[in-house]
Amino acid sequence: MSSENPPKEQFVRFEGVRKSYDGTVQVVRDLNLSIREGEFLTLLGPSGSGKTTTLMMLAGFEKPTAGKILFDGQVINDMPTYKRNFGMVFQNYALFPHMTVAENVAFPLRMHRFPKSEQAERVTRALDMVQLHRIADRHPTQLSGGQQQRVALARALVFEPKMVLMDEPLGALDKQLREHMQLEIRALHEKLGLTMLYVTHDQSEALTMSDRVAIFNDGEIQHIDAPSEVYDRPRNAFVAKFMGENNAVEGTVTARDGDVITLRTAAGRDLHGTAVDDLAIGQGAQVLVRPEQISLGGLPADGFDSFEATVADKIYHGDHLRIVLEIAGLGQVTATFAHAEAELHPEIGQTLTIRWRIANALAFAPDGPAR
Amino acid sequence: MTRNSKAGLALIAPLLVLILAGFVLPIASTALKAFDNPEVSAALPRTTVALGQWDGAAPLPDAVPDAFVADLQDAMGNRAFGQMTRRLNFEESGMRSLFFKARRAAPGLERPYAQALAEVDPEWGRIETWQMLKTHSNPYTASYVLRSLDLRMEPDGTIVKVEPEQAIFVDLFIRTFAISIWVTVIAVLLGYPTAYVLSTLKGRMESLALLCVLVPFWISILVRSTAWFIILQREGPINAALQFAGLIGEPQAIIFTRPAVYIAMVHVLLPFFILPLLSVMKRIRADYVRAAASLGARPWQQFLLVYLPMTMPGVAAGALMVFMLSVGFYVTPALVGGLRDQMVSYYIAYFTNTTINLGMAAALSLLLLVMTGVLVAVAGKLMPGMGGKQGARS
Repeated sequence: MSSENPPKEQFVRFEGVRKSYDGTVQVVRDLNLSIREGEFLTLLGPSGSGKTTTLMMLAGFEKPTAGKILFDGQVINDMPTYKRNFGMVFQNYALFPHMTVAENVAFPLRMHRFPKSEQAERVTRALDMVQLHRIADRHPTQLSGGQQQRVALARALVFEPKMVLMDEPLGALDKQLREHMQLEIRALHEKLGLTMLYVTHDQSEALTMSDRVAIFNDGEIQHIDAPSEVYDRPRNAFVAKFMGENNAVEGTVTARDGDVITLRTAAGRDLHGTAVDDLAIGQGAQVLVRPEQISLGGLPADGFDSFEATVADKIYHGDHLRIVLEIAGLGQVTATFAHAEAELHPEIGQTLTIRWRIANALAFAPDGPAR
Repeated sequence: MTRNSKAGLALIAPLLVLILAGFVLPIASTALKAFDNPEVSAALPRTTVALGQWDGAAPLPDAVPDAFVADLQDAMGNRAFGQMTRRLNFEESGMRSLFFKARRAAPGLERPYAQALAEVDPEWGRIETWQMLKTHSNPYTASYVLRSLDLRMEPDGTIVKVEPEQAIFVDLFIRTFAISIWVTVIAVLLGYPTAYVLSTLKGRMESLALLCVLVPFWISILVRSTAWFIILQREGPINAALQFAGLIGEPQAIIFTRPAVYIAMVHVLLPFFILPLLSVMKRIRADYVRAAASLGARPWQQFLLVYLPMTMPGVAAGALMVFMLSVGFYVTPALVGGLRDQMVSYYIAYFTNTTINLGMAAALSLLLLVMTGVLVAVAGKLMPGMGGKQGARS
């Protein structure tokens, strides 16, 4: 790491990058993205959204159909992978089965012609870093998934690459191990100060690990910002619905007061929302409310929408309670309550008063037809 | 034994019987046949007993020629006698006429028989003749196996090399293994890239290419070898094409040469190499080579250090298959090769069908089996991944 210089804002730069395999379907369309030196950037999106293709183009396994990829100011479109010097971790680890753990970790050092004495020292240090020095002589097939994952990490980091690319590296692990490894990777990132580009379709992984998250859909970045920003202030309805959970109520805009719009449902019920998209009176729109924003009881107050709701279903989740509520004229909405709040023990069929902050009810244009 | 394990045993019983009857028993009986030597003891029972009491050193006790003449008198029109003479003639030419001469004279012989026999033919007066008869009155013999290694046992029990003009079997074994190794090497060199290309194809192209590999596989070896016979002959299409292209003036002799054997055998055996390798290659994800590239390996290093070692179990399995099959090849070299290109199987067939010398056929088969086993075991030790630790792990 260049400690004397400030981190570069445009360490990696995608400029107007497009990728199409068959000439008609654009897997990535007009991608413009800058990666800061030292940041942990996650590409998040459903499968087929172009996030993995973006990673593959940066790694050099795929060539852009159009546009430029720059690394540290230099166009690298045609640079072969082995010259790029990016460590990479794969979903299936891709550890070489005919080599021991130590040989796997030493492989990049051999390729980059590190002096022999330094190789051994670095392998030891890398295996210590992931707490695997005891199994240096085993073969990968004798290791558990979590151990293999750590070896893959050690191998990708041992030669001090200019950046590290990870393609769903935790996808094959069970939930507990996955959460543990998230913290480990995060800690390694902080310790080493490396630039990391991480691809996942797991949003909680993206939220917990990243400095910034880029949400992909349909070959384009929908929103790129810090995790709390993309979650709390999604730029469009796709991001709002993709990140976490949302109740959507559709209707027509009947009034507008600054940011706050009034939406009338087909059944004639009114509610309010804070406009994110540009919405005009008479236009169709949807208001999205997250389940955890809905609270029980409370009197109608300024800045709140409150409704009478009937409990249609409740699901016990251990740490929280999910309640499906039927609101006349709005349809069904789901609310989640922490246990303290759920002490009311709502019964199915019971009527409750609920409310949410209008500032948390975001209004968007209706979902367009799928492209 | 529980009910379940009894039922399991009953289920595998037919297979067990089949393996026993079709594999273990024939090999065991072949192995025995290679040492079996019943002819002398069957044709000359009394002589065999008398020879058994003699220590083999001069002088010859009278009991032996006495018993011999008695046996000869019984042996008139006896089939066992004919078989014995043929057997002994194989060991030393001239034996057949020597015995028939003795049998014709037997009714008129008078004591002392030792002397009388020596008058019939001076050979009967030599102690070596009797020593040889004693050697072969033993119901078991090493002579077939020794002969298969161009060795023979002297009457006094020492093992010596046979005369150079009879020494053909060591060369035959060397030739058999040399041809097999070359066929395997050529099949590996041609088959590896083919299997690689096949493994990268998808969908319709994959099925089509696989069909091209498989179709020759479905045609009988005899038909394919005959086809090569036609293609390679002097007036065949290859010579015609080369002449047409002006590359050669006269038609060249391709058929009945070593290259013809290689061409036809490799063609017949190539699918046996490609198919196991292909199944291994199909299972290697692109991630491994990509990982190598991302770690700084150049394309040739990606291949040599990662892809090739990962495909080695397939190479070993395919090469072993090709080698084992070519060691036992008969039809193809018999059709397209010359006399100097024939392999052990040709002589096994020759001894079985033409000279009806089952002992030699069995000895050659047994040695071929043992040598192949040793060679494969050594190769397995030397080559990692050939049924070794590698295979056990994956």
